[in-house]
Amino acid sequence: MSKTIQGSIIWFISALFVIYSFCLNTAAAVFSDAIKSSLHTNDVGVSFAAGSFIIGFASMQLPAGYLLDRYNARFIVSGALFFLALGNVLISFSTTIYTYSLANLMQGMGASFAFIAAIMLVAQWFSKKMFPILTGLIETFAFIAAGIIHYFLIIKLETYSWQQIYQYFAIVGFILFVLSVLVVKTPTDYFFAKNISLKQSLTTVCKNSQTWLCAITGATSFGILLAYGGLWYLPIQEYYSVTHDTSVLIGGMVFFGIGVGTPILGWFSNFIKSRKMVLTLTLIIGNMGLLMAIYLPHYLINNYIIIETVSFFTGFMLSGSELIYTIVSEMSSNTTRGVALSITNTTIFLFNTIMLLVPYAFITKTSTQFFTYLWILPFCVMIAILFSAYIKETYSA
Amino acid sequence: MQKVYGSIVWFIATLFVVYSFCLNTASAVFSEAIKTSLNASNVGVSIATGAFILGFACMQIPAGYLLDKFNARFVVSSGVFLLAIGNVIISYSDNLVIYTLSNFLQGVGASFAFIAAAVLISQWFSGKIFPILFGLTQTLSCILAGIIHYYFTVILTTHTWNDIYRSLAVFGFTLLLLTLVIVKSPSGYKREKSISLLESLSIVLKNKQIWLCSIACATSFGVLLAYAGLWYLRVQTYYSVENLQAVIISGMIFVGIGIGTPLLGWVSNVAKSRVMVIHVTTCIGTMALLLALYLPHFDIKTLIIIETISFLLGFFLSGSMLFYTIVSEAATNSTRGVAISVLNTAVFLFNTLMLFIPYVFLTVLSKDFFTYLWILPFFVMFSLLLLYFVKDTYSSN
Repeated sequence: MSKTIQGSIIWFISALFVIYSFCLNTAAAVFSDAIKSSLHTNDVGVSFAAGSFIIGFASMQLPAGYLLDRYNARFIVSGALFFLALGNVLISFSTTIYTYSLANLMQGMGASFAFIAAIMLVAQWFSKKMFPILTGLIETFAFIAAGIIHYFLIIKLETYSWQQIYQYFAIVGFILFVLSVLVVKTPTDYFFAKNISLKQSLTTVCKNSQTWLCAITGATSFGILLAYGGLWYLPIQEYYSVTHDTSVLIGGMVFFGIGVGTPILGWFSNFIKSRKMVLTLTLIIGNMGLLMAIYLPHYLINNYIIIETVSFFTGFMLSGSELIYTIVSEMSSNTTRGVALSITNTTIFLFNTIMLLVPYAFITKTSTQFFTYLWILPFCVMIAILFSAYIKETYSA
Repeated sequence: MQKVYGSIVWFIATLFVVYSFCLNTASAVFSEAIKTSLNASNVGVSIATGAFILGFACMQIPAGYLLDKFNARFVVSSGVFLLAIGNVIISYSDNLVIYTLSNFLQGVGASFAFIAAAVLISQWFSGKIFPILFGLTQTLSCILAGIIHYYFTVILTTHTWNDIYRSLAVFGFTLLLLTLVIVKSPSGYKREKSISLLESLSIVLKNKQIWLCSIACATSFGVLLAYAGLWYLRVQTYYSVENLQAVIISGMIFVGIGIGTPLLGWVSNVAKSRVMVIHVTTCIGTMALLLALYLPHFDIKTLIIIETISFLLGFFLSGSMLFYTIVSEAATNSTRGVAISVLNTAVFLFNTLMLFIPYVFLTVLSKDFFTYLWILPFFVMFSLLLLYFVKDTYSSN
């Protein structure tokens, strides 16, 4: 079997792992009301239970990257999938909020491996040129699938209990586990990092100022985009009295733009032989889009075509920030690639989480509307634009 | 010796800039007094004031061309002469037609000032000194414009506008004398083979770098001037800041510009890059502009926050004055004047345009500044986009 075909199959399974982990994360959000009533808990309890996924996810990011640097992906990916599926089974049988939270923590820890494993496998199996395109496509699938599944879960919840739906997911999880044990592996000619401790690996990566430039640039651009697409578009649409369904569509357009943009901009950066140029230009144009998305007033027309177009455009352009993963991968050696990528991913993920709270700091007694607190989003993207000038070009033929 | 003499020439050229600034400011400050004494309508006064701008715009490029072609002595003194003659006539004007015509004449003369300063600096000093001295010209004119604005307002209570104009004319003719005696191009200055205005323009306009710089400078420095001159007021009015306080806030922007321009010129020598300094300062300046527009006023008694932000805004966005240096360095002796005048015209026209563009975004639903002033940072980001393609012109010679 040719390396490309085998690689593609492995890539596909790892993409399914990403989607599976996305689903379980989405499920907890969609089921929250149902869980609240069946586990007899309150809002705080549910928040805590949902938060345990994030804690598990955050705590395992760096170890995940390190393990993927050192060991064959077969063991790491299948191990993580087993852990995720096990958490999935436990959660489906949980009868108290404690077991639910514990199972959700396990799920988070397992899910933490998904994206890093997928992009590491792309780096291991394919040429450099394919990296931005294939990692972009994972993003595309994940967003499309997450959108469909979100909708599907809401419908199914009317006829099935949340436990039943979780059990179906668990079946998918174990099938995926078997597939990963049989199929997923690192190419035989790949050189692993030998005899390097997590601490040594971290020291090497953290001493490289390029790592931090990339991590901060990624966080202040992609992290912002996710915060806007996931939450902050809502207060704006509420202000203009847009119905909830239409608002969700507007948010969806952002993710649609990301899904389309990531692989195309990855391809484009091969085409013009520069990561840096595409990164810088898309960040600037994307921030212009974001500024419009926040501040362009709604005109008195009957449809939302303007804001939908602007949302798509913003998602498309700012998804250029995902080239940060490619740049980090290209500047790393096999010894530290996993750790470097996981530092990038952790920074983006943490900043995204922080940005769900930061804008509240700018709400004052006299200024309660979005105008005077959402400026922080394009403000942060300016930091990314500022730093992007110092990121070194990593493209090489 | 050449340095000392050059410095004197520079100082006189700067006085010419200050003198033309004064006369422009004067007609704005006197507009109410003129309206009553000449029995004019609002429209009449607007046309009379606009005549200055018209004269200024018409003569920019010819002024640049003449400075390329002839010894600065004749060109600069002619400019000062036209300005002073216009000044004399305006002081004796007793109807609106004569006032308008003489104001037009003033505009024609004033259009030589800034370009003459730039060209003289490039003729007398090394490339390194250009951004610093040109910045100092900006500093002196910003400071004096502020002082004079205030002074005119005060003195108008005891003197007629005609009297004040006459005193200015005395200054004008003194300056003319100084110019005739002292200002000249250096004797060793090599003037290349003379070309026609059309040839000169076509060389300049075929140069993509000059276009890039002109548009980028217009969308950054032009926006800064529009904000500092007009739009800051809308924001402060919304927060019920009293007029005198608001004028201080605007003044802080000009203090920032005055300090920033020469200092950042010097920094660009130390950093050995014009483009990098513009990139960094424009990014930070845009962040300050976002803050100036959208950070809410907190419930504290002082306006120290917005005053500090205004200073930073002026300081950092004045980095875009380095585009003048880039254009000067990119041009040859035979086209420098025309190249700088093309740039200056672009800045000046876009600044004028930016006094109107935001009105496009006023809708029935959105009448406050929130949803129409976003276009200011939007254009500055556009400037950053173009900057990516501007070639650095710094060289150690």
